[in-house]
Amino acid sequence: MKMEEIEFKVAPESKIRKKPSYIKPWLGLKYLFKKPVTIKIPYEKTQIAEKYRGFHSLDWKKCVGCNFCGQICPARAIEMTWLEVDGRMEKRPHPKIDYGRCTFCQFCVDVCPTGALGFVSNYMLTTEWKEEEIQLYDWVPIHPDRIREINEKFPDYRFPVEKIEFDRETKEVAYHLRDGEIFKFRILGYGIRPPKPAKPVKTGEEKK
Amino acid sequence: MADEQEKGGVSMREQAIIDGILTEAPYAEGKVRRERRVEFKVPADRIRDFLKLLREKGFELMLQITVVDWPKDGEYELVYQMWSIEHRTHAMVRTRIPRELDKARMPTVRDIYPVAETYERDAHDFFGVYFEGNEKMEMPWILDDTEQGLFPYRKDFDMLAYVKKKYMILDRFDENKDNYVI
Amino acid sequence: MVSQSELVKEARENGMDLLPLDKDTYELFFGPQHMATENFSIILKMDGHRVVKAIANPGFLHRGFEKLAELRPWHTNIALLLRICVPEPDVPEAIYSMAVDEIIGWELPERAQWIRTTVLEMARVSAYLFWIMGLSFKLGVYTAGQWAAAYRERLMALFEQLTGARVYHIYTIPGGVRRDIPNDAWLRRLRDTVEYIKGKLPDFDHLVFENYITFRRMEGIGVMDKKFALAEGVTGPNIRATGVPYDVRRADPYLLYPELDFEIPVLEDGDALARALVRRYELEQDLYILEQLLEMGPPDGPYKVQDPKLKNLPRFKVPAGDAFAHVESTKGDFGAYVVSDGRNKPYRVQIRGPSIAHGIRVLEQLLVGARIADVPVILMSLDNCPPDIDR
Repeated sequence: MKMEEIEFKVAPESKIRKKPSYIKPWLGLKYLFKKPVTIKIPYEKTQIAEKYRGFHSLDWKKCVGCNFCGQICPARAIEMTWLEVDGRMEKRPHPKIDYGRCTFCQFCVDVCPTGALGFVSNYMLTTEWKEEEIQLYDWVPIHPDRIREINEKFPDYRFPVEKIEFDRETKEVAYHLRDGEIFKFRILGYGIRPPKPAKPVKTGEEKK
Repeated sequence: MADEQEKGGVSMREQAIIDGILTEAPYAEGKVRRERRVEFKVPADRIRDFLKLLREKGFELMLQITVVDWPKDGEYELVYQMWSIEHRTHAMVRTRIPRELDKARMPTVRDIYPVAETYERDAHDFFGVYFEGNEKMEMPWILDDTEQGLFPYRKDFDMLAYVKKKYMILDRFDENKDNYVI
Repeated sequence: MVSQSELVKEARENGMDLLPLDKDTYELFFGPQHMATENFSIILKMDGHRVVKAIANPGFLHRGFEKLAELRPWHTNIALLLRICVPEPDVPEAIYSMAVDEIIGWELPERAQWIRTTVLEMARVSAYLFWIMGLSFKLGVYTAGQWAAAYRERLMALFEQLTGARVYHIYTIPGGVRRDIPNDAWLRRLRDTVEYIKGKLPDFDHLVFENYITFRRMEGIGVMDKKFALAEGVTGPNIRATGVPYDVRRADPYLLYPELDFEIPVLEDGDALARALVRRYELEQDLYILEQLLEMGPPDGPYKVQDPKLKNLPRFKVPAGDAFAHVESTKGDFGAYVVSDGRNKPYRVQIRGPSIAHGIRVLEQLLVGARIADVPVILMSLDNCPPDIDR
């Protein structure tokens, strides 16, 4: 298509200029008698969009530990972690997300080749600067069906976990979810290479 | 058929602009990239004459002076980006100067395009290019006093190491983030 | 410890000396913590209530975007670079994507072009409402400012349904857009919002643009003429108020703009009132453009380029080359220059914000002789955005 022959259509000056007036500003007073548009947030609720970009959810069976999510994250918030659940080590590492660095762009969700990493619309997480509360800011996400069950019981868009306990010597992690369940696992190491077997206190090898 | 004539017509207009300029500046080379984008290559000491010529030929606005660092060739490439409202064309004027800090000097063009003073301050603060004749070279522009002589946008400036040295990284976690995947 | 005499010597060498010019002048730091300047600092030397000399002092918002962008894969830079211009975050996304599209050389599908144009126009309307809010607060008409903030909320809700977030959309990527339009109800809601804002424009006229106080405060203040504006590299509504009809949407058309029909306002005065009236007219024209786009309706087809190499996003390679792309934003001519050398990360990204031209030299020359109450008015009529300067 020819892009050359587009002329400028310049607006006539009479449409742009305005005349000053002393009386017209008083017409703004009519809004004094109308209902205000303010929504009083703690007492009334607003409508959050359906696919609002919030926290993550992970299907542990589908995740293959390829680390595409870790490579694409712009803030380097994702770290691959080797876990042990009920005495058995998971065969592949899973991503651990740090919400102090995350920008909630969901590029990690777009790039996941198996569709294991997803996102939910919860967005509220506030804590004070106490050591046990700050542990809430990094977690390995839990299964989306579990988060959906918690959201049906508590529909107020908060973080689904109430408390995370992390023991630095034995490396045991316990998630206290909001409906009472406690979910435990142990961290064996970090990175893409598997950790050295058996010793429970050692941290993993270096990355590539 | 009409397409060919159209394409010929569009790039012929840019070719006419280039020919009009190159007849008076035999030291330069020029080519057409696509419609409304042309490119020139000029040796570093004739840049002032060339920009004066461009100004007379209808390129009224100077948009930016960009510095690109090529450590393999040992040179900085300066790209002057000009826009002509009359011809509706964008022109890139490229030159090359050596990369060592005591040899990276250029004459200033602020008497031809006054806005170049700000762009030259920008190039000096981040890359170390010294523009002779610009009296605001020593005035601090964006970087703080502690970073003034470091020229952070060069390719041999290790940003991660500098950041770790300067700020205490508040990583509270178990793993160490010394090696990043990216 | 540095002694006072050393500080004074250093300041005097750099032209920022702390001693007054004579016994009637004093220094005033219009500092970075100020609502009128938006994290930008000006050092004023005053004589009574008139300014004698002004020095602009940027650098408080420097985050080093151009160096950070060299360490991340191509698509990820969108999440980083859009933080350059906060009132209008779609514009840096669009210019980066357009430059990368040009280096690769692929053709965008039509649905993606329609969606990108609509998103850019919605961002322009919301940025103009943000500007009206700022102008009203500086003139003292706080009522009109609160109205503008409330109407901008409706546009934020529309963006939330389309892209997933209210302010930082992270939506336009090289190759198209990330998500599709949710459903037809979104298009109806957009049409209702456009009608609603159009119906409220006379209210803004009554309070701000036809107010006698506005004319007293803004007429004849901060005058530029055509030759000065062209020499100083000013673009956008600032140069259209001095008589030069330069608009990137007509001079270097991109996306769907060749098929749309709108007018460009041009005035000859060059003072602050002319710049404000030009922006007011452009807000009206942007609403008219959105109506035309909604009548056209989105065409069918894919919303992203289908390329099998895109399945491996962290290792997506772009061929060597460079490109320049620019877009008309409400502040001026926003441009990006991207260089690639064939790897999976950019080699050099340079963003040119429009405020680097009119925020430093033009401001320093326009402020000479102004009263102290005129300084915020001149700043707002130029629509200075400090993150553009500092990047």
